[in-house]
Amino acid sequence: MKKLICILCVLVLLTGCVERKYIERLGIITVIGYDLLEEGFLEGTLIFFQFDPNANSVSQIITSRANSAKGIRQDANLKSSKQLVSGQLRLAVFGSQLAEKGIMRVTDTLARDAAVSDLLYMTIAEEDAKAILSSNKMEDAADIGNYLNSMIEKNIQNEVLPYSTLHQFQHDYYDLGRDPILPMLNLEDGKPVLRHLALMQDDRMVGKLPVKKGFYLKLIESRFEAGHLEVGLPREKFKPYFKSNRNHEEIDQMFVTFDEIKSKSQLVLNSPDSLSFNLDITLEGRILEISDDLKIQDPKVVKLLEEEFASLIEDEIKSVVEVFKENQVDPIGFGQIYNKERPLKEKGEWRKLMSDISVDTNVKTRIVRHGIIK
Amino acid sequence: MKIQLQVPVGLQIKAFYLFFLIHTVQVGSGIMGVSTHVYSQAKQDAWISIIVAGIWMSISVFCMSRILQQYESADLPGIQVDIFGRIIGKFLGTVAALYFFGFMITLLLNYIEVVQVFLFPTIPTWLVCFFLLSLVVYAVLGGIRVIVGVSFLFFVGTVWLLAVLYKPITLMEWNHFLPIMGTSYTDIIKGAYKSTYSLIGFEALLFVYPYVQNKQKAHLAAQQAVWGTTILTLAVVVITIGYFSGPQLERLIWPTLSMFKIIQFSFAERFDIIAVGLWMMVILPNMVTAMWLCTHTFKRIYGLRQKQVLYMLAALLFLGTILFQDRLQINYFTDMVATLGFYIAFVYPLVLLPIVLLKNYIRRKRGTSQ
Repeated sequence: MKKLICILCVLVLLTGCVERKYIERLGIITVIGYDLLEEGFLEGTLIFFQFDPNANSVSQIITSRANSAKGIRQDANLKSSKQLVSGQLRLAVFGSQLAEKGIMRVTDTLARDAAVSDLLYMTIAEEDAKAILSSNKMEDAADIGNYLNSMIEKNIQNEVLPYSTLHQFQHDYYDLGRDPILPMLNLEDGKPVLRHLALMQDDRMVGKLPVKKGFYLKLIESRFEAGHLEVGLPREKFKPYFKSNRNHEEIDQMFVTFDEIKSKSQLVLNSPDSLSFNLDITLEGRILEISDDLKIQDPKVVKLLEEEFASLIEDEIKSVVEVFKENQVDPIGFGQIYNKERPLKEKGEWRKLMSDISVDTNVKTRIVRHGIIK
Repeated sequence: MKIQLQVPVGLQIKAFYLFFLIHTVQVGSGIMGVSTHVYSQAKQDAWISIIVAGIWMSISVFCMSRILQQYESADLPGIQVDIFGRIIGKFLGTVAALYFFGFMITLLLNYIEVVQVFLFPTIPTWLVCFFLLSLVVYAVLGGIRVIVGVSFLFFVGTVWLLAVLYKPITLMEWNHFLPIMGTSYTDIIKGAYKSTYSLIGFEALLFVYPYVQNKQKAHLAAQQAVWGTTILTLAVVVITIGYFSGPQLERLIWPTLSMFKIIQFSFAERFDIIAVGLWMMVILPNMVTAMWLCTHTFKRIYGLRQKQVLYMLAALLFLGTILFQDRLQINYFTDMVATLGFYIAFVYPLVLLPIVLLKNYIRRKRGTSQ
């Protein structure tokens, strides 16, 4: 019995050998921004939470310079009394200059460090990451990091932004015949907002796509469960079906807003030699807004609406694919489908073929309902 | 030394528990990184490699049980002495015991490294090693029935980890598996060979057989155990291939653990930390069983007292483990043990069975002619 107590005491004391982390002494980094300076120097902007009851604010911001991402953290440690840890890192913002050169240089540490979560969101700043993180317009969020994180998370859940976690980025970066796509943060009147998606060739940003066009990207690549979309249809064609005139004659388009859009898509490669793809999309949704007074209960009108809507989507998809071809990027994964038939050796191989693809789109739409009025 | 091992009824176990014993000794440190190893050879057809390895394993278990059925209640050290004579038989038994010792070192090293990478970067190797070994020694002192109990409890305690993999399953991409049979047959076989480190351990059947109460059911339980392991490994490999893209998977050291990084609950934001901690419960039955097999074999061959051997081996393990310093050395040593394990578990029973049958045939013939 004495022996047992001795052993137990030793074991209990030994647990003290494990590294201790007192939350009051920690600076928990939630957002990190990277900018590229001259001569390859990196500038890092860190936002971290502090749980010190005596502190005035819940979070702090530190800017430091070094050659590597972990060097930035070490340099930042010289500027704070807190021990900076990256276990709760939620968001990484890359400055546009760094993004144009390639972000894998600093993403390596995010992937290599087991402390960093795979659910971290990756974003690109349209200008400097530092400017975005220094903004003080954050609605009622605790700090700017919290605001940015909730904004991105909400928009991913609403199916507006592509799923852009660290895991997804790495997955697309390494996969043959596919490129990552990341949301971009922009400042509007000093407030960070989402306006564009960054088109990436591997880890380099080569172009931008408006977030609204991202709808078509998702439409091709995966499925919608509850998406929404505003479209302008040619007004001329619907004129015979107007019940009354709402006196906006100078606009030649009728604006219709769809929501609760459900969609399915099927992308197949017709023949690997001609690089022609066949895309079938079925989509259904409900109308929530029409800018003109339309006889919506008329089956002919619904049919016409569906047809016009389908042809508009076909045109938009064509233009989005054109943008991808121009920039030689493949965020949809046409290359993955090609890879099934003819295994690709390396990523560059598909990039050369990418500009020759043609997509034959076939869209079927269905309007399920149109609100509580006729 | 006696060829047959008569076990008192109080120490015997039911064949039903053999399932847990064999299954838990197989599943451990190997499954943390199996996908990367197999994928490096067989690419998108890695899952076929696992099935091939499973069938091979099943054949090997069949051979083992046929060998054991030739004797009433014998284990491998006894059979080897019977077949090859005292000197060679004892030598082969010692090789097996040393192999279990090496197997334990790889288990300890690999898990301690995981702890250091994921949980406590500054924790010294000797400390984790001391903690784990004290548990192992404590369990082995309890004898075979405690070991079986440990296997059963920790199997039930960790099998639910599979359920949280629903999240990576939803993020799987099926075109990672296409084209099917895109790799050559030799690469698939090589992939199957690479998967063996995560499957070895079922040779325990050859050592615990005398302890089984209802021996006619032992074969069935062993088959269930190895197929259980095959299905588990297959599930892990399929999920990791679908979840990670190929070149990404090739860069990971422990894809199975990396997969836990995507799991998040509102009450536990970083589930990977919990999973790595819980992994100790997966590793522990492994080490306990390997330790028992090792000490038991030394006892059988040299007639030593199991307790003394246990303390000595624990001390040696402690010293052996702290000698290894970095990832490269661990990899090298793990590869060595994996190769040895492959020959002992996958090749040796297939070779031994015809020899045993031949010897028995000759013996019977002599018996009738006299």
